[in-house]
Amino acid sequence: MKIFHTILRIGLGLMLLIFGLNKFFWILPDFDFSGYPQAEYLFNSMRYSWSESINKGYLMGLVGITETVAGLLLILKKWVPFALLLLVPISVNIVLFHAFLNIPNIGPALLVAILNTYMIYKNWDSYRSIFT
Amino acid sequence: MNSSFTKILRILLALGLLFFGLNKFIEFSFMTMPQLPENAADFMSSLQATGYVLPIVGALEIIIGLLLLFNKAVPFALLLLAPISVNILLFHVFLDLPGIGGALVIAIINVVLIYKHWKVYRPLFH
Repeated sequence: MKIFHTILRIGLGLMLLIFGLNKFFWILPDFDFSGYPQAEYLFNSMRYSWSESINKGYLMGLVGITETVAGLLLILKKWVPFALLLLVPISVNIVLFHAFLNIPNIGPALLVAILNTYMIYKNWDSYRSIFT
Repeated sequence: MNSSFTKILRILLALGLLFFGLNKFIEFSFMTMPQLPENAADFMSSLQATGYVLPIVGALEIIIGLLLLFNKAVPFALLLLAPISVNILLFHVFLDLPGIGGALVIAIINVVLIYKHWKVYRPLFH
C-alpha cells in the first residue's frame, strides 16, 4: 500500500512538473479549442505575452509556477500537505473550466482532481488542526 | 497585537468581502465601476464570458465573509480566501495598477490574520 501511495505521489508530481514547465517552454502539443470560442478566449487572455501588446494575462504564468513548485515538493516528499493545498484551486478550476467550456479534454483534469482529493484524504491528519 | 485589534481586522475583512461578493450579484447603484484599461477590460470580459467564474468567486467571498463575521472556522475561511487574495492582487499589479487599493487592503488583512493563527497551519509543513 505504501508503494502504491509513493507511486501516486510521484506520478502526480511528475504530471504537474511537466504541465507546469509546459507553460513556459511549450513542449507538449497545444490543445485544440476549435468549436469552443469561450474556452479559447479565456485561455488566450490568461497567457502573458512578451511580444504582443494585448493578452497581458498573468494567470498562465502563475498556474505554471504553482504547478512546478507543487510538483517538485511532491516528488521530493517535502511539505506534502502544503503542496496538495496549493494544488486545490488549480484542480477545482481546471475541472470547472473543462466542465463549463470544453468537455472533450476533461480527462487529464479529472485525473489530477481525483488524485489530489485522494491524497488529501490520505493526509487528512495534517489538515485537522485548521478545523479545531 | 491583541485580540480586539484582530477582531476589528476580522470584521473589517468580513464586511469588505460581503460588499465585494454581493456586488457581483446585485449591482449596487452607488458603486460605479471605473473604466478599466484595455487589457484589464479584456481579461474581465473573458471571465464574464465563461459564465461561471465571477458567480463562484462572488459566492465564495460571501461565504468567507459570513464565516469571518460570525467567527466560525476562521483559519479555514482565511485559507479559502488566499487564492482569491493572491489573484485580485496580481490582477491589479499586472493589469490595473490604479485600482489596487481595495485589493491591497484585503490581501494585507488576510496575511496578518493568517500570521495571527499560524500555529494551526504548522502541521501542513511537517
